[in-house]
Amino acid sequence: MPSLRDTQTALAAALFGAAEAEAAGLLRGGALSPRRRLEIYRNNVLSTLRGALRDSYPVVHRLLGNAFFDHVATGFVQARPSLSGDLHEFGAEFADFLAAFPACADYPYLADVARLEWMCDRVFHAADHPRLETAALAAIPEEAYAELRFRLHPASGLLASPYPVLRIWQVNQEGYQGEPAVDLGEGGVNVLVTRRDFVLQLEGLADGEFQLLAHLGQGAPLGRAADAANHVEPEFDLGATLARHVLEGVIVGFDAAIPAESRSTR
Amino acid sequence: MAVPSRTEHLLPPRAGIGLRPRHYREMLATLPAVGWLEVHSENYFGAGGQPIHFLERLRAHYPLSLHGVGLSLGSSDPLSAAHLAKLRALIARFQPAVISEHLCWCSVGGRYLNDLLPLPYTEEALDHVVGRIQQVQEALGRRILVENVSSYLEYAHATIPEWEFLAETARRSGCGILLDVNNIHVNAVNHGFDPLRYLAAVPSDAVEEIHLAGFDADGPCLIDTHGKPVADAVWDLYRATLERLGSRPTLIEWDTDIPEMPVLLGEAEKADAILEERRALVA
Repeated sequence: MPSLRDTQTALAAALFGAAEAEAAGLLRGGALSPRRRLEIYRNNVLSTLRGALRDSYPVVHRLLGNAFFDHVATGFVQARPSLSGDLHEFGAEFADFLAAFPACADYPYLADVARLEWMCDRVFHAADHPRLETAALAAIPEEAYAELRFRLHPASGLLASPYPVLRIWQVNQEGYQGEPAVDLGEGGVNVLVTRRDFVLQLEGLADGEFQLLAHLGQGAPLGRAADAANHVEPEFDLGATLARHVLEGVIVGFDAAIPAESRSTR
Repeated sequence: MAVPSRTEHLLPPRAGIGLRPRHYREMLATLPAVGWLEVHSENYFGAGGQPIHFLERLRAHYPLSLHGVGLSLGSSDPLSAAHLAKLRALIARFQPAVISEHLCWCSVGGRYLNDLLPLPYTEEALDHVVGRIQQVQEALGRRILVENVSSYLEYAHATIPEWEFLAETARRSGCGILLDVNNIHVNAVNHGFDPLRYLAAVPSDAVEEIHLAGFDADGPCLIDTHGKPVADAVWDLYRATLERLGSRPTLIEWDTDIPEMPVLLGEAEKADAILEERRALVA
């Protein structure tokens, strides 16, 4: 008698396309042949996983159309197995897969659209967080500002792309009314994704603002983040930018403690 | 370890409905008279945002059932510690009346099918799944319910009828049963057995919840799609089930092509009317 392990291994192999004979040999026939029975499960598995991708990547789905999206998604399902019983985790590497998928080579912006959509999905489900108490910030002496490490809202994300992915995302939203054409020649964009009343908010950021938030998000102290912003945008207004993102709840906390490595004897 | 005890029927013996994002606002605004709500556990594994917000608010008005689709109880892989940890955190946050999983496997070799595959009904699989349920109950510190799944295949080497496998699983692991009446009907048609024979083998005391749903047909095979109203044959089997078990909390499952609220509530009212008939008979 085949073991439970062998039975499950053979079934899984058959459902992902290979070695159907072994699994078919483990099944009863009856009104349907074993192969037909495997096909029912294969279709279920494929349509569930492709459906999860469609849910996470609605703009990519719209750009590719149903048939082509299904073709790409089928390739992805085969190449990058689902590794979790939580379907929301499936599809994290879809952007990388699209970037390397030969039939998508003519659409180089597609991978960044997918990265933006995955980021949107993460932001949608991320933790809630109260706004920053500005009184706490006012209590910090000005000379300590450069060493402050600000924290961004867990439900926020930043993406820089050499393609106009924000425009592409916007014109492909349900109910979008306006100029539908996107000029790929308009160049790149820095996108900030946040959430307000459970609705995703996407906005384009100037280079300095983007560098500031990106560095803060990586845990850099304010002084270093401001240098990075000034480097790409000499006119960068640090005070106004900080104030705006504190008020809008993108910056939600700060840490005034000096990290361990700076405290070492040097 | 503390022995998980029988849940004291914290769900009322009335109809409940599945909570879906498209109904969040309407549910909270109208608070319809359903007995309780059920959600798929994994849909609330996220840290915050809209799903958590609405579930927290609705939880204040309704008892809750957490129904898992991804723990892969019957897999020959080790249990996922990460998945269990998320489930445990969710239970701590929402204090559900019941927690259920499926009597099936969803993964092998680390790869997930994200589908509910039937086990081969053998002594080996029975031993295995009983041990796994005990592991889960210990990890969660409480009893779980396991649900009988629909299936489109049977294994040639199976030695135990499905109904005996389900009853033995509950008896040996101490878990409760979430009896899916639609799945009994679907499997009875697909595998050619008498659904009443299945029903007769179910240990009444173990059943703490019932599921009802709609199915589709694919040639001679019924497919459990959860995308339609409950079929007449399933309503009949539901009546027979209540006759044998008594009243039980009953969920209307609707997971695909989710309808407007009134349609869903209409199905729940039908179940409530049958539960009421049953109570009148007993009284």
